[in-house]
Amino acid sequence: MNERSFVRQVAERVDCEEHRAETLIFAVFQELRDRITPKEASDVAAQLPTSLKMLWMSFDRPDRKVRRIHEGQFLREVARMAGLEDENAAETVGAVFTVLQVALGSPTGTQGEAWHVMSQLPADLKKLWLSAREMV
Amino acid sequence: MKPLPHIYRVHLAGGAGSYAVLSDSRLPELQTAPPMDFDGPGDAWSPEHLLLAAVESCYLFTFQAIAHASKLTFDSLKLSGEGIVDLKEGIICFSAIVLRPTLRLAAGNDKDRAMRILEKSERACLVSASLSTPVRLEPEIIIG
Repeated sequence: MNERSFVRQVAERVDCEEHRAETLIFAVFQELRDRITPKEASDVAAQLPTSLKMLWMSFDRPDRKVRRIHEGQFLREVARMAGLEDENAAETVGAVFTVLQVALGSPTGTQGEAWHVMSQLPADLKKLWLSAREMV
Repeated sequence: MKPLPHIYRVHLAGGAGSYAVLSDSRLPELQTAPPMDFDGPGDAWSPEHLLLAAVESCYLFTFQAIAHASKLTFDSLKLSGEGIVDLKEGIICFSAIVLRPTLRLAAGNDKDRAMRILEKSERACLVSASLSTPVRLEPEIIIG
């Protein structure tokens, strides 16, 4: 999946302009990446097209610690970063998760690299990760 | 960004006096000297000032990059920094650095979102991340 297709699919799911979708993707990418280990984040990046890899890996540091936050804070942080109302954050995160899982070659979110990502999430975020597949 | 690792080099030439000159083949020369607190002349950039300048400028450029990626538009970002040099476990070092960014946004912008990006910039700044000295952020946002 190339970047334009990724952005278009998120925009369609959230019903927004593609320009806005890029902001949403950046906010979700950054928060999800910080929630997993740098090694795992690097493995995800290896499967993304170059421009999406930039959004995913920007401002990462190999020595950082995993931000061990749960669903509530994860959604609040995405909402703050993207300028969303809190009540719209879950839908946005779900949309980006869905398209990301497809980009990682796992529409169910439970195979290959997607499984490795899921395995590092706490139970409440795992549920959100898995619920994304119902939106496919 | 170019692939890592990135390598930076700076040359320094000095004699017996207080002043020395920092240089690189593609950069303007910069005169440096000890600060007045260490009996320096006080009219040249000291290592202490340069360290603070590196933290502040790295913070600003990191903020610009994150704001660009987040599509946050802003009018200006000004920073003042303060570093405290003190004895810490018997060693004279920077015991704390305080960054005071003042961000000016156009009316209608989301203040909380801007604050999140200011906070993220502190965590993502590579110079701050390279220091053992804690960096504290005291941001101010002005709208309109």
